[in-house]
Amino acid sequence: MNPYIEGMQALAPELVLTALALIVLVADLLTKGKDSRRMGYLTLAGLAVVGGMLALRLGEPSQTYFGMVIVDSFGTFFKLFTVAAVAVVCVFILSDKNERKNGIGEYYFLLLGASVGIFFMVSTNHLLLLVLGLELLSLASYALAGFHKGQRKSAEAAMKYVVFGGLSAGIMVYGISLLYGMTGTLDLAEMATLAGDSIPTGLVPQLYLSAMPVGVAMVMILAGFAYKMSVVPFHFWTPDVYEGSPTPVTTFLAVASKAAGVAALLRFVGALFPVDGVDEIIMWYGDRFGMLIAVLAAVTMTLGNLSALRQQSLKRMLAYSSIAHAGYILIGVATRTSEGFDAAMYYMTAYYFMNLGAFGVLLYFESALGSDRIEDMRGFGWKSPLISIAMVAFLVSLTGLPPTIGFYGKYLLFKVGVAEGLGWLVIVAALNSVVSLFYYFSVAKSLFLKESNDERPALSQPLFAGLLTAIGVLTIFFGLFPDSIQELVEMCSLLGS
Amino acid sequence: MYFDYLNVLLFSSVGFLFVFINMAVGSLIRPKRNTEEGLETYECGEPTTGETWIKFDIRYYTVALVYVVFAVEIAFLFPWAIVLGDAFDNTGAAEGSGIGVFALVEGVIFIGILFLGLAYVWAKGDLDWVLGYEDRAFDPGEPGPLNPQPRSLAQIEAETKPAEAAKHGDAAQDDSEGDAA
Amino acid sequence: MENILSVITFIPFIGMLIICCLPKNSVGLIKGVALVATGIPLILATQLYFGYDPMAGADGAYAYVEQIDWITGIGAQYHVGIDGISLPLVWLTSILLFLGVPASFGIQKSQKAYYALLLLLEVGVFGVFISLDYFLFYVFWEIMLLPMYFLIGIWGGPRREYAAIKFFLYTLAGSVLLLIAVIALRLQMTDIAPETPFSIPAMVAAASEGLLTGASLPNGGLLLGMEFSTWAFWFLFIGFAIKVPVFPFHTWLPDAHVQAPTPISVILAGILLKLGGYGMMRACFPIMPVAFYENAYILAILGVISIVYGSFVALGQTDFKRMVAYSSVSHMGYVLLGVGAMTVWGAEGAAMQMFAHGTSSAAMFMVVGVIYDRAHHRDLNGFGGLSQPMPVYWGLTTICFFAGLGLPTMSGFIAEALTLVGAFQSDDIRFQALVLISIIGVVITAAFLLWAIQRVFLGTLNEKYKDYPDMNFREIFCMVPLLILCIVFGIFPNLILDVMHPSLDHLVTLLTAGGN
Repeated sequence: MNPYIEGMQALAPELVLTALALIVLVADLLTKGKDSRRMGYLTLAGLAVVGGMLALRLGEPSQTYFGMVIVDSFGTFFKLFTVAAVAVVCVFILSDKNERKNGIGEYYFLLLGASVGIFFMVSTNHLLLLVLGLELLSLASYALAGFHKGQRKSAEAAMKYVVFGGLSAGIMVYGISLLYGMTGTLDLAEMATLAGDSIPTGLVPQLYLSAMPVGVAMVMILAGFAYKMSVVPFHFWTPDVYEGSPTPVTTFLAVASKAAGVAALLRFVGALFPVDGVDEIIMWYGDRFGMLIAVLAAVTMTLGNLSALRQQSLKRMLAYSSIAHAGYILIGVATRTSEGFDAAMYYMTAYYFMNLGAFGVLLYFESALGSDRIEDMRGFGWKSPLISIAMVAFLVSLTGLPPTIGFYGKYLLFKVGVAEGLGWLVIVAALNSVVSLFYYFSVAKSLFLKESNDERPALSQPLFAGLLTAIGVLTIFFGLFPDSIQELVEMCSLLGS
Repeated sequence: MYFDYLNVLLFSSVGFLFVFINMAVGSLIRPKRNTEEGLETYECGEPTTGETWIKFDIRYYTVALVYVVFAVEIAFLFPWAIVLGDAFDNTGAAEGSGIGVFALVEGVIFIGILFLGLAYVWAKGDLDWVLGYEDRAFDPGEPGPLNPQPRSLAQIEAETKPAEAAKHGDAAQDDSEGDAA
Repeated sequence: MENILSVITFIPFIGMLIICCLPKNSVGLIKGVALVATGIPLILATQLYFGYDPMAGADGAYAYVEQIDWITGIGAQYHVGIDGISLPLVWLTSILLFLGVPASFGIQKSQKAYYALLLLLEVGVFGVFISLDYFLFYVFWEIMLLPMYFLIGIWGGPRREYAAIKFFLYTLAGSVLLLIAVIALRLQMTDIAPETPFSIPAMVAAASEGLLTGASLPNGGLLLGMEFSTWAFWFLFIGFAIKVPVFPFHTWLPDAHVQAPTPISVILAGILLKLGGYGMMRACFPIMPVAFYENAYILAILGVISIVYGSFVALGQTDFKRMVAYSSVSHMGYVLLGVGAMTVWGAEGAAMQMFAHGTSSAAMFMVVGVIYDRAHHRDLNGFGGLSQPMPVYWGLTTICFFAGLGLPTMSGFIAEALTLVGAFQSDDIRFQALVLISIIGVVITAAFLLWAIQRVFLGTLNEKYKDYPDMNFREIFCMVPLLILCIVFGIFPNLILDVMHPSLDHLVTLLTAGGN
């Protein structure tokens, strides 16, 4: 068959997603923005189709198309992740009255456009396509961050996001150009293989020549990933942007966008510096690179947790907590083993449940109270018990206590850390989760331990409450019976087991 | 290894030196007459008025943005159009690829998306140059020093006209004084 | 019944689910469900206790074992069973939780949530005592924290928020260290017992063969410059010591006790503190016997510091509840001293002390609760002469305090005597010195308890307290069974020692083998 047609078939989910985005845009124009809820339902239906197509592809062998797009289970896992996250974000928009007002067609269009960016970002070993996907995601995210037009915080968020995004993307592209100059290729797989016959290309001869320029390039490229994952020192945008953006957008940034960064980083590290590298010097250099990531992990989780301690706003606190979680995930990356990567993927899944849940509860309180201050939620646990108990489940999971999915994720990360000789990092992470308990439970304290002096009744949002309860139940269920997700993760393992 | 980059170092240092030496030589040998007109910012022969830090109308940006998008897209279409013939014949640059119809369809889709963009801009009213603020579905947000409330055109004209008239008056006076001096 | 342990553990859970479904204002029904859901485990556990064949726990065997695959991805199993060490504590748990329900009838605030959390707490405690899989053990260990946090935090005293989070933070800090050590142990078990890498009996067996040395870990198990056996032992120990609480880690206890409502204090002192001692005996010392053997005298020193320091601090308290709380610190010190001595008598004394303290301190907290419900303060110096209006209360309190100070014919006496004699039997001269020092603690304990009786019940009666009603039926019903247990086990200690002996004998064999 014609390789182009074949490639297009392989890219069918991406194509459907793109078509969906355009259809939503046109449909919104044709209906003149009347009752944008229909756009939401259209988006959800389309996402269901894309999700179904992706689910059917799980477990298929890895294939490369057009020399740059890899279609494999690892990518499919993160694509499914994105689709699921965007779907929940859409439900958030649909079920919240304030967000519904904003939820014009462009909202969904931009979300879908960002998803297309993620789809390409997670399914390539080619740095050019990686940057294109990252930029597509970023551009859509900038617009989304400023979607509360006229609200100063939202505008500020968008502006900060653009400036930081531009800076770190620039640094990353510069690093990539250095790497290209040294190795003569943009394909990571090609870069990692031992050189061909005559012309010395690839990373290995370059490292034998001198490790320093490679180091400069690596650190610069890491900046781009660090920015997307909000890893220190590229985390500064996170609290402000998370706080200023509309809450569904924050959810998208915290869950889907971060997952894309994690996936791309895993591919990058997995292609260049797996623990059993092709050459002695790659392994030696990989150790140093892994140590750099480990140090970043320690700094990131500590800084994120300590900054979260004093936050008054739940939204800002969750922003800092998402920085801390990026640090935990980096433990798995730093080990550079298949188990470590699987643990990072599992933790991402755990993160999906608990963070979607926590942001959902935040959205609920924002509409019920008009405030995201933890103090204003005093005594609300008794008024809307279902959502608040679900929130406790999310908090427990975020802290990493059993019997929740977050505990199991943390267990896997700790285990692989201890097994790979990163015991010190595991101790840092463990003590960090003790610190995090304090601020996570300040929310539980406010919800249940304090007396309410607020006469306002609880909002009745049955759909929303149902969704959050379901996420809460799953958070606990997958904590007690994590086998199914672990099997999925192992099936989609990047390095193979 | 570091020696490989010596040419880069040489190139950039020569480049820097070239610029600075020329500027230094120029400043040494050119005549210096510091008249008032000579020191003024050159603005196409017109006398300069007002500050340079002024706000441009946002509509300029919209049009510029749409223009840039289309200009870049055209840059993509030229190479596509040139190779398309070869692709159909399976000759030249596209020999043996069998990409013909596929390339045509893809190009058409590409142009279609461009048109969609144009249609979007049009339908959203961003191509209408004269536009009352009331027409825009715009939430002005809370008023503040950095967020002036939108005003109707009539209001703006009423506010700006007397000020401009006064400014022009001042400028004329200044000019006349300058002439007299 | 084959799966009687699971039934005991999960009946409270079912009760919790039922309570969650009941309407908020049908208080009577909620209380009834709570009574039934704690009553059935009590009946079953009593049956279990008296139907238990002590030899079932000999040579490290377990009775009523259930073993089902749970998380296949990591080899964690639902593996439960009991032996002579855990059975008395399971029984004690069922007794105290059952008594805790009527003791809570006075609570008026959000009763539905209260009883639901109480039952969830019972699930966690039962789970810890019966788990033979370290992963399962850890999960139950942590599940317990959450209901405890809310029980102290919602229904506690004025500084409840502080006390609740302090309790939570301390325990979590200990348990994350525990988790790291468990992970390291689990990694070594991968090759030794690939089918059941988390099994505690398998770990104990591997340890007695000297296989858990950390050699299969990266860097030979070195962490922060410490040998594997050193850091793993201390991580496990600190995790459990915080719960006991042993001297430097005890500061959460007075806050938590003082702020908690009476029934929760009872459960906290009666059961939760035992979890730490039990955890050491089950899942710390026999798994790291070499490190234990090397550090046993340090543990004994910590135990003696707890005994003496706890009693002196209790002597200085004016808050009735705080005094009882510090007496717990003092009493739990015997557990460490007894196990640290590595003699059978010492270990029996320690295990018995856990049971005896579980009954006597629980009764003491009920005593405090009774007076607090009437006077709404706990200042020891503010009372006086209460023996006149409340003679029954006086009588029961006196019995209870005698049990606490270890009067002969009380279970506390047997426990303390066994511990001290056992420690004195040790070949190590240091232990004999420690026993001499800990005698100070015994004397001071008697002093502060008797002084408390004097200040509360004797002397001139304050006019304010003249009309106080004596203990009502509910209060008597809650306290008397505990006192009966104190006396029965004080007179017939073999009722409990026989049950524990084979298991403890095996434990001591394992521990002393650590020196060879």
